[in-house]
Amino acid sequence: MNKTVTINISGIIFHIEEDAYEKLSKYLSTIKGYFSTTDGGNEIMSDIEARIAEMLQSKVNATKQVVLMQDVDTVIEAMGKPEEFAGEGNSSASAQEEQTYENTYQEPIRKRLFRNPDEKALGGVCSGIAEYFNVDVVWVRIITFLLIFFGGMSILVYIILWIVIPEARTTADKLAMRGEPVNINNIKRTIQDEAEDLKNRMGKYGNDLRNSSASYGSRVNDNIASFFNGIFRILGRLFGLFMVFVGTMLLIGFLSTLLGFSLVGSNHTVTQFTDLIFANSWIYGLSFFTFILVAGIPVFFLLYVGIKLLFNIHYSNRWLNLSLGGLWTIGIILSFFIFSKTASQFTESSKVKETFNLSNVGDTLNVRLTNTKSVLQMYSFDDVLDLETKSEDHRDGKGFGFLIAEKGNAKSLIGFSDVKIIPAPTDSIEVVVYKKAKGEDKRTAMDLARNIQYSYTQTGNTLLIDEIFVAKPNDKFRDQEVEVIIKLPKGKVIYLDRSLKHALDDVDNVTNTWDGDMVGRRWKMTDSGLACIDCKGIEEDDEDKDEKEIKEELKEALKEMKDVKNINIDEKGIKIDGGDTKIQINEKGVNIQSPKGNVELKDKDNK
Amino acid sequence: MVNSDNTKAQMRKGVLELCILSILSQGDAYPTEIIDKLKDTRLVIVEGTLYPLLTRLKNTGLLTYRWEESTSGPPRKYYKLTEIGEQYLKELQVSWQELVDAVNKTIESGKQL
Repeated sequence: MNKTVTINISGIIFHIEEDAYEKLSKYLSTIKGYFSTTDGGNEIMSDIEARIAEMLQSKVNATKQVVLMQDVDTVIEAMGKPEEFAGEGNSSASAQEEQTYENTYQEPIRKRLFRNPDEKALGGVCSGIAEYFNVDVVWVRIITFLLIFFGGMSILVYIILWIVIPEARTTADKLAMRGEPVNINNIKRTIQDEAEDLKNRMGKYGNDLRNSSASYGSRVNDNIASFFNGIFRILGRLFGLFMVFVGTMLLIGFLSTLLGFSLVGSNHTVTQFTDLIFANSWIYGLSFFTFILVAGIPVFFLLYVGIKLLFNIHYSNRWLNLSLGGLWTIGIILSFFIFSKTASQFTESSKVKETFNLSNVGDTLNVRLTNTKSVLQMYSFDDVLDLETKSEDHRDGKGFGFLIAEKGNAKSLIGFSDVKIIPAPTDSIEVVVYKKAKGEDKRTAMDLARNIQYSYTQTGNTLLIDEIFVAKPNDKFRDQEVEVIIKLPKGKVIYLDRSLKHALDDVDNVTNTWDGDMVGRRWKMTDSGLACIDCKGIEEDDEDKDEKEIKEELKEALKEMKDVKNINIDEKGIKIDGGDTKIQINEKGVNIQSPKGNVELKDKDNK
Repeated sequence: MVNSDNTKAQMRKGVLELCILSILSQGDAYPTEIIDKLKDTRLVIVEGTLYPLLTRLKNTGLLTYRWEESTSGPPRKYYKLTEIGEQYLKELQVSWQELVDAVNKTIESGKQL
């Protein structure tokens, strides 16, 4: 019993014995090699293939359906050896053209990437690559070995290549594997070949259009299809290269994330965070596994498809595709599970209220933050300096809003308090501190809220409040918050120290001044809210508007302006004349004249 | 006479072009028909010889072709002589006749020696 394969020659399907197939395919690729540099080489090739198909068809019938070795031998005998007829087309060829044939003899088979089963340490990937680029396998192995130290990158790449690249099983495969080494000249020739092929297809297509009548319609369609195939083949390779490039980048990102995941005690806040977020360690472990599935599989698949396109490997592994798809689906389901499990830890919220009455405050209440470093030192955390830097980053808007402090094996969550100032219903100054937390139920949330350590004191006319609050060691992250509300009676003045710049949270005031701009000034609680009493040169009507508001006004004015008559830009500034509306921007500020009225926006710093 | 085979092959190759053009001057044909006719005259050693030659003749403008569907195989390329091809064939026939005459005379005179 012999194995048969199914082949397509010139659009005709044949069942052919495997050994006969190998012989035929080698014969055809040899002829192709001879004609690869001849004008119309592809046309000659397809003519020869058509004739071979015709001859083979006469060898099969209803009772003998399979092409045998002797049939192929007969065909080859009739057609002749390539060297017998290759020069025929150019019997009048010049010496120079003969030279081209000389070169052609050296490249009978186009090289392809295979795994080398004859010289393998593991899967024959390295030796296959070495054969492809014609370098000593030792170098490939050394590079592979060295790359292991880059986050084990080459291990993953090796596995991918092992799966993607087929093993050279048959003699034909091995011949293709050993074929001419890939170098610049070959690549150039391969591209020229494909371009030539494309040109011929186009020519053939044109020819067909000219010769076509209704009955040849299908033939024309075939050629259009093969013409587009040619384009897709070139695009496919480029796209493959692109995919491999992107895939490699993603692989590096993926591996470094994994590394961050696994390095316990690393300095990354995100990774320190993860085990405080997940309810318990097995969910944490599961999330690690899920990440590998959900993020790793697409990266793997991208590289897999990219390499296949790049090296033109037509070999697909159904088992692999199915199991990758299956694992990825499992990963997605797991991530939903982890997400809902974790989200359920945040469903209930509780808060603890502490009230603190200030007594014997003079005309002005000073409010400022205690020095964060001293607070940190009080808890004797492991690396106070690092924490201080991080909290500064947080104040500059670079942080996550939370820090993790370590003390031995225990981890404590550090958060930042928010400060609000509202009118007091009574005559005394009252400070209310809310400690908030979330949890899977009210009781857990309440416990977590109670565990928050936060302090504030009054010394004379000054209210000292902490910038940071600290959760109990190893308390989970459950959106803990501390809100400080200062209730200020009417007529009282409050001085906001500059240290409060980032702590103030949406403090209402009559001038709608931003929180960050309120510090370093004294504010008086009036009937309508907080009013600034030492903001120089800023009056009720002509208020100090910030950049954003200037932009708003300008946008509005420009919208109103229907047709611009004149725009003048010089060292004095910019003048835009739009008939009814005129805009003038200079060093004094922005002036907008419109039918609605005049708006003047002064730049207080004269920038 | 070591190179006798090679010489014969070269001679066959040289006249193959003339033969193909002559066959096509009798009517359009596709490669298999041309081969069958050539086989009768024992000119073609291997079929593979024909295809590069046909393509070259077509590319130089001596031949054109059209596709025709076949009931028993792939579509066939029917080759046809162009006007230039016919002109070229006439010229070839004349010079061939001259060559044959000259060669015959040479052989004849060689025999007499």
